Amino acid sequence: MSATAANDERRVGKLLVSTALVVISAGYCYWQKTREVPRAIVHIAATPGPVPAKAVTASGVAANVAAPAGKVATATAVPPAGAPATPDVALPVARAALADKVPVPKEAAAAVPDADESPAATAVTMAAGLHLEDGEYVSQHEDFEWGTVQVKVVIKNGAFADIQFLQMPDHRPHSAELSDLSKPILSREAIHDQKSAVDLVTSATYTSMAYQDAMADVIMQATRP
Amino acid sequence: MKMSVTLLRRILTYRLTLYYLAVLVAGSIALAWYGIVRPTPRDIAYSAVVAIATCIAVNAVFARVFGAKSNWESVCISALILTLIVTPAAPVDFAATGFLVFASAWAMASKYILATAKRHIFNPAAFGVALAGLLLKGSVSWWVGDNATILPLIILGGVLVLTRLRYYELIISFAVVVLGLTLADNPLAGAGTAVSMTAIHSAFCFFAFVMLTEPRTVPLGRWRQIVYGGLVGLLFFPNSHIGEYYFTPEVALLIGNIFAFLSNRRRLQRWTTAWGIKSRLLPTKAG
Repeated sequence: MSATAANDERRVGKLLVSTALVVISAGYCYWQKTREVPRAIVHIAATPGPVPAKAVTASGVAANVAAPAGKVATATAVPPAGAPATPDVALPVARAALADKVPVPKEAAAAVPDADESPAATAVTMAAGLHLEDGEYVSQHEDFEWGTVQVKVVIKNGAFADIQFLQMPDHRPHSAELSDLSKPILSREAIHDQKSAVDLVTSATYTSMAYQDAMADVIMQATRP
Repeated sequence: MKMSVTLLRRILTYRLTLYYLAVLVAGSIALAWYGIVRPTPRDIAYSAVVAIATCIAVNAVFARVFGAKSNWESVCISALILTLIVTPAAPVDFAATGFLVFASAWAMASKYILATAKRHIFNPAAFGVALAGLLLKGSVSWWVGDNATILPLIILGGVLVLTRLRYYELIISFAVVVLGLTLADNPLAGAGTAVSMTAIHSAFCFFAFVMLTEPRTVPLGRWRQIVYGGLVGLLFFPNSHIGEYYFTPEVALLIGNIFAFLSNRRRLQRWTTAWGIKSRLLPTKAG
């Protein structure tokens, strides 16, 4: 075989293998898009169970855990009607439930009220002399490197009853992913423990800090002597 | 001291980097075993196996078809980098596994398809994850940077590699720009925290020591390296954006790679010749 023919053959080979990779990749992308289940709504059960106080820390090690053994807070995913349960749905749920997969010391479990109690009922009393006025409060914009955090907090009977995230970092896909991961953990912790200084969520450290500031702002707005 | 530096310089750069990354992956698995690092050891090990197997297979096909000599260390380095930056996939998580396979395959393919004069233009791992992030549902977490417990290993190995490569100006210009912008962007009271968070709790060190210093994509010449480091640092800074688009670390590196390619006249000349482009801006040796 002449050198030219060999070169031509190699050129065709290069073209074929590159085209094959492009076609396979395009097919896979198309399949991913068409089988895509709309993002599952991860929400906290109506009566949030106790949250491990430091379930997710910067080091990933649980400490000062406070949840009754066998009765952990649950996050449930509600796929849209007709959507099959797929790993796509299971993944965020598994992540949201990360906080629950921690060992629970017996003494901590004994100190925690029953998981079926409502948030208000399980509310930890605010610091002496500090009372929160019932109502809905919107925090300031807490800007940081990865975006902005802003929350709307509903206070009932002087306790945090509901927290909505008006703004969370979502400029980058990874920021949106981390926001989705941290939202249920942060709101659950604030509602159950009735505190603004929630523990930092691994991978979402900055977001957790901005959330702490937003919650502190809400407390300042709602505080009455 | 002198003897150890001499010994270090006798080790091939790629082999040293491979050992470095292998220690990082093994260290992550060990720390994950004790619950100190968040991903499970099973997921990290599974991701490493998937990435290495995919990279080796795709590289073998492309090397054969393109008639190129393949360096197995380079292939394993790309695979281990992907293991350390793509969120570890659980064996039952087909979407995450698909993301990793996609990124690994394109990382290897880019070394052959997007190359001039047998030299790739883009950092393979960065290209793979950028393309996967663009086309697939998912993103790159750079999880190795989230775990400060691995940082001593990253710095120790990084210093060894840097001693071997001697890209000091590159690293310094990158660090000065990123940390300087972080300082400037934060109020004075919180500046210290912001800088320490960037240096300790982000992919900053891993990116600088492992990704930025890839010898095949670093421009030649001291000043070009300084500009390259500064440019990538500018785009790596979290608040850098054009309109609604915010740069990710991998895209920052790819843009830096384009700069490195364009700043090398000889490579550019070969590329224009190969594509039959005649440029008056690029004088030939004779001209």
